[in-house]
Amino acid sequence: MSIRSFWDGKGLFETHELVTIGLFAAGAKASALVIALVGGGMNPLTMILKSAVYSALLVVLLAKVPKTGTLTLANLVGALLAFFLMGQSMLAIPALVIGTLLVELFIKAIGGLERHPGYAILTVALSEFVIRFINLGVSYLMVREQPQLLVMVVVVVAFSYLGIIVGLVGGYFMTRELRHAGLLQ
Amino acid sequence: MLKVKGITFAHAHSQKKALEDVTFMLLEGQGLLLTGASGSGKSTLLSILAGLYPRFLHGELTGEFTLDGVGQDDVAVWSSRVGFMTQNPEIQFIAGNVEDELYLTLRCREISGQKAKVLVEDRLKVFGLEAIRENSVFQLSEGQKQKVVLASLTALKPRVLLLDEPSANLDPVSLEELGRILKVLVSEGVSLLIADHRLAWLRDITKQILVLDGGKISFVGDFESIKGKERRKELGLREIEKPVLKDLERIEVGKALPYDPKNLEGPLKENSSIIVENISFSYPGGPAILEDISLSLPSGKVTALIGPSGRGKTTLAKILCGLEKPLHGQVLFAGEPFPADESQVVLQNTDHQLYMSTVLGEMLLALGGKKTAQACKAMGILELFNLHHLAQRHPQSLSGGEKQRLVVAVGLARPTRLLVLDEPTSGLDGHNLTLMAEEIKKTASSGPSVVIITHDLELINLSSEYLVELG
Amino acid sequence: MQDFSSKLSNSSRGLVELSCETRLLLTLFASIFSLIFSDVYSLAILLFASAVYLVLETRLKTIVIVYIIFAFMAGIAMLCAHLLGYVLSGMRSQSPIQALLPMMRLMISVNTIIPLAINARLSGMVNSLNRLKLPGIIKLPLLITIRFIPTFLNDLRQLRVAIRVRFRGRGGFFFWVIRPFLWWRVFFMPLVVRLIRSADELAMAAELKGLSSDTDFGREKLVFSKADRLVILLALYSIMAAFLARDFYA
Repeated sequence: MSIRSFWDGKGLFETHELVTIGLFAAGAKASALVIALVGGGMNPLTMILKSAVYSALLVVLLAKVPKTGTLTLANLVGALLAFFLMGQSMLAIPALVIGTLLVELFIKAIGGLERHPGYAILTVALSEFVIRFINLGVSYLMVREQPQLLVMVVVVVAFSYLGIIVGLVGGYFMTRELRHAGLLQ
Repeated sequence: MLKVKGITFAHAHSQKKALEDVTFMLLEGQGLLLTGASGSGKSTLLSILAGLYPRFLHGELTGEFTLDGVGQDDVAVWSSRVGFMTQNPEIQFIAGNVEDELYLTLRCREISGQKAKVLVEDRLKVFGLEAIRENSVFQLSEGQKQKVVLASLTALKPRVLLLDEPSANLDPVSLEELGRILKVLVSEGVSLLIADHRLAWLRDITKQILVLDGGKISFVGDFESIKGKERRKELGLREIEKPVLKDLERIEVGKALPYDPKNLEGPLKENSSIIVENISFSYPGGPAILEDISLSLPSGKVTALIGPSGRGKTTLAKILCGLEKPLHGQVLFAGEPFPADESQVVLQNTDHQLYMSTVLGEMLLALGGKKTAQACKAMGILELFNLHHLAQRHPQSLSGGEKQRLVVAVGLARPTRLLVLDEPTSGLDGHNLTLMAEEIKKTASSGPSVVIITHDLELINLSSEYLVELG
Repeated sequence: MQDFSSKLSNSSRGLVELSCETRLLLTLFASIFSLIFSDVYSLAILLFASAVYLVLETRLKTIVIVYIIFAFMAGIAMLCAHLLGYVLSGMRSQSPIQALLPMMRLMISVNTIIPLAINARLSGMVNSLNRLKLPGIIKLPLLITIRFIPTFLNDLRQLRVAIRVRFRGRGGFFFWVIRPFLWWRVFFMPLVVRLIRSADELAMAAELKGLSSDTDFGREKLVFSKADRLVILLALYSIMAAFLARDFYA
C-alpha cells in the first residue's frame, strides 16, 4: 500500500461506508444541537434526551457499518464539525480519538462487532464513558482556579451519561426493527 | 447499444422475483419508455442497469447487460457511460452550489482543473444555468435541480441516460422544458431509458414502450398500439394524449367575496364554505408569497389548487390548516374563525408521516380509541386503498406508491371539515390513480372541503369540480 | 427549502472579511493558549486581542446579543459556584481574581468562536476543507457531513409539521407526557429512517459520481489577503506579549 493510499484510508473503508459514517456523525451532532436549542442547554431532560438520541444513532451506525474504526471516525468527524462550525474545543480531539480507538480495539480483541449484536452497544457505552472522562479532564484545565465549577460539570456529565444508557436501550430495539423493515442488512 | 438479456432479480430475504427474464435492446439515439404499475420493478431495473448491484441493491441477479458489448465493471467507470438521474435529483448533489457541483462531478473523473472549468462554463451555458451558478443547490426548483443533474451527467458524454420518474414533481412548464432538453439529447445520439407513469409528455421523445407487470415484460409496442382506452386500462396505464383541463368551475382569487361571511345566518351558516379572507403572507425578511388572497372553498366538493411552483400553493394550504399564521387576513367557516384542529393535511414526503411498526398499527394510531374496537374499521379503510394484504408489513418497507396510498388513507381516516392533499399521485400508475380519485371524491361527498394541490391534470379531471389558480 | 447556508451567509459582516482558514487558526490559538496561561495579565492580553478580532469581524448587534446570552449563562455558573463554595468550604477559590480566570478563558474562546460560526458558509467550508489537505478518510465524511446538514434540518422541519398535523387535538402536552414510548417512535423512528435512506442515497450518488477519498474537489486556491496576514501577525504578537507578561509578573 502506498503512503497516499494509506493517507486516504484505502482498504480501511469503502466510499459508501465513509459517506454513511459522515452522515450519521452529522445527524447525531445536529439532532443533539437542535434538542439543546429547543429545550435549553442546562435543562436535565434536554441533557438526557440529546445524549439518548446521540447514542441510539451511534448504535444504528455500528449496525450499518460494523467495522473497527467506525466509531472512532464518526466521533472524530463529529468533533471536527463542531470545531469548524461552532469553534468547539479542539483540545479533546486527540484524546477522544485514542480513547475511542482503544475501546474499539478491545472489542475487536474479544471477537469484533460481527460476533454479537450486543457488542455495538458495549462499544458505544464504553467509548462514551471514556470520552466523558477526557472531557472532565479538559474542563478541569479550564476551571482549575475555581474547582467548584467542576462539580457542575460532573452533574452535567452524569445526566448526559444517563441519557446515553437510555439511548443504548432505544438503539437496540430500533436496530431490531430496522432489520425487520429491511432497512438494515 | 445497451443490450439487456434475461435479467432476473430477487431482493434479499424475498422469495418473490422483482424482475423475471427481462430482455430488450436500446439502440443509439433511441428513446425507450419503461412503464407499469407501482412496484412492478421499474426502479429496480434502472438501478441494476445503473450499476448499483450488488453494492446498493442486495439480492440475487442472473442474466447480463452490456453496453457496446462490454459488461459492467467498476460502478464509477460504468456510470460515466450510463448516466442515472434518480426521482429526487437533490440526493445526487454533493457540493454546495451549482458551479461547485458541476466542477466536483468532473474532478471526480480526474479531469484536470483547467479543463473542468472550461467544461463547467460550457454546461452552464448549454443548460441556461449561468444566472444561478452561485445559487445553493438546495434552493433550486425541481426543474432546475433536474437541469443541474443533466448538465453534470452530459458533461461526461454518456452513451445512455437512465431517468427514474422525471415528471413526478414537475409543473407543466418545467415538464415541457425537460421534454425539449431530452429531445435535443436524443438527436445528439444519446440513448434514453425513461421510467415514468405520465406518458403524454414522452410521445415525441420515446418511440418504443415497454410495460412491466410483476417484474415481467407484459407489453412491447409504440404509442399507437396503446391508443385504445380499454387496452390502457388493461395494462394499468395513464392517458397518452396531453391532458387538457376539463371545464371546471373556477373560483376567483383576490376578488371581494360575494357576501359578508360574518353576516351569514340560517341554513347558509350551517352549510357554509371555508372562506379565505384577504390573506397575506411572507417569511421574516423575505418577499411576499401571498398578497391579499380571498377565495371560498365549497364544502362537500373537491377543489384543485394549481399554479406554477413557488407561487404559494403549499403555503396557502399550511395557512388553511393553521400550520402558518398569515400576516393579515383570516380563514372563516360559517362566519367564525375556522378551527385548525378540524383540518387534515397530507404532505408530499411520506417518510416523515409513518411512525408505527405495521401498516395496521399506523391506521389504528390515526383512528385513535381502543385498538380492538377500531381494528375492523382500520382494515376496511386499508381495503379501500388496496393495502389490506400489507396490514402486517412494516410501513417503511412498502414501495413508494404503497406508502403514498397509506398516508392518504391515514389522512382520510379521521372526520374533518377540511382535507388538503399535497401532490397525492406523483408516483401512481393509471389504476391506482383512478382508485385514489374515487376515494377523494367519496370523502368529499361526506361533507368536508377537499383541496388537492397538484400538477397532475389527470387527477384533477378525474376528481375535481372546482379550480383555484394561483399566480 | 430555506437553506441553512444562506441563513448563515446573510448574517453578520464585520469591518474586514478573513478567510475561513484564518478564522480556524485563530480559534485553535485561542483554545490552546487560553489553557496554557493561568495568570490574569496574560489572559487579559489575549482577551483584549480576541475582543479586537471580534469587533473587526462581527457586527455590533450580533456581539451584544451573544454577550447577553453568555453573561446570563456565566452568571448562573458563578452563582452556583459561589453557593457550592459555602457548602464545601475546601473548594472555595483563593481570591476573587482567580475566580475570574475561568471566565476569561471562556470569553477568549467565545470571542473567536463567534466570527467562525457566524460567517460559516457551506460552499466556502467545502473549499476550505479541500485546501486543508486532511487525510481522505477524514475529508470525505466531513464533506458529506457539511453537505448533509441542510437536508437534515429540512427533514426536522418537515417532521415537526407532520407530527403537528397528525397529533393535533389529542390532548397537547399531557398526551405526550403519559406516552414517552410513542414520543420516541414518532420523533425518532422517521428521523432514523430518513438518515438511513439519505445515507444509502448519498452513498449511491457518491459512487455514481466516482467520488472517492482521494478526490481533489476544491475549486478555489487559497489566497491569504493582507488582512489575513495582518490579523495572524497580530495574534502571534499578542501571544508573545502574553508570554512576556507572564514571565515579567512571575
